[in-house]
Amino acid sequence: MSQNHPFEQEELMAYLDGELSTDRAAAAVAHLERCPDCERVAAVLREVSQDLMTWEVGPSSPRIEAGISSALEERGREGAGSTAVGAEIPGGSLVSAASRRWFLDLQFWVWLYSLV
Amino acid sequence: MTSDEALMLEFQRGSREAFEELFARYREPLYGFFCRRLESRERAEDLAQETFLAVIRASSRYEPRALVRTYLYGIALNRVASERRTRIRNAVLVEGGLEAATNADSDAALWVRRALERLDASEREILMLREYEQLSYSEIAQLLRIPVNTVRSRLFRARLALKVWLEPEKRAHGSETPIDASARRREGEV
Repeated sequence: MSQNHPFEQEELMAYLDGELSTDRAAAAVAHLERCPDCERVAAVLREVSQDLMTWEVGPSSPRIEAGISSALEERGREGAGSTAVGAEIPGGSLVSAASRRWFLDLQFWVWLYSLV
Repeated sequence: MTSDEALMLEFQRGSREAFEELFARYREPLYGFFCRRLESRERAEDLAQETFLAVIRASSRYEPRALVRTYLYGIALNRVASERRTRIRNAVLVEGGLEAATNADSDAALWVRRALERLDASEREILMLREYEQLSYSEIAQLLRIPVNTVRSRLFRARLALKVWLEPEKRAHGSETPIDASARRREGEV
């Protein structure tokens, strides 16, 4: 980075990848418009990305689905709720057994206060 | 459109339709991920399927603080690593580390694969995750357990190195770059 080049080349790359904040991205656009050296670097980076995109992969075949349906059916038979810890907690918090315990404790204290 | 994370939570609650939507969204991206890293389309399909099966079996362990696609590609990366270990044990690994779909339908891009094979393995993985899987720097950092700045610097190095490797491959295959074309036009104008 220098006075003439307020952007590191890596940061220009980050701009092309959409990784910069809006303000910084706007500054990068303005710099690229008036700096041929940086525009050349940007062109190289864009070209590498374009070249990589020539490696296309065709669509998968239906065999990729084999086994998925039966696994879903098996899961359905076992009961989805039995594997999702805390599934019965209102608000959909499914994170952990700890959160379930916390909720049950809260219910207990609410009940206790209702007796006072 | 419902987010991946909301779909995953619906699936945790038992919605088969939510999983089917996730499957539709990620079927081809995951297949492409494996296809570019393994030697055959069949094996790529097998491992893509195994990734979805792993999601079905372990859906209760998914936590909303992780993006679904990071979660999926995390499983996929583990599968690829495991596959490579098995192949090394069986001594059939193609030298160079990128086995990459030799029977895939994109032989026009053979020169791209050859250039990628020349990259350092860790830089190649970062570059592929960025270009083909379109992951953000922070997602790649999370997946590979490295700092975001390391992702950025390695990605930059990988792109410049690839540029160097791509040129002779392109010339050998008679492909002209947009930059070559504009340079040639400029020379013609002089």
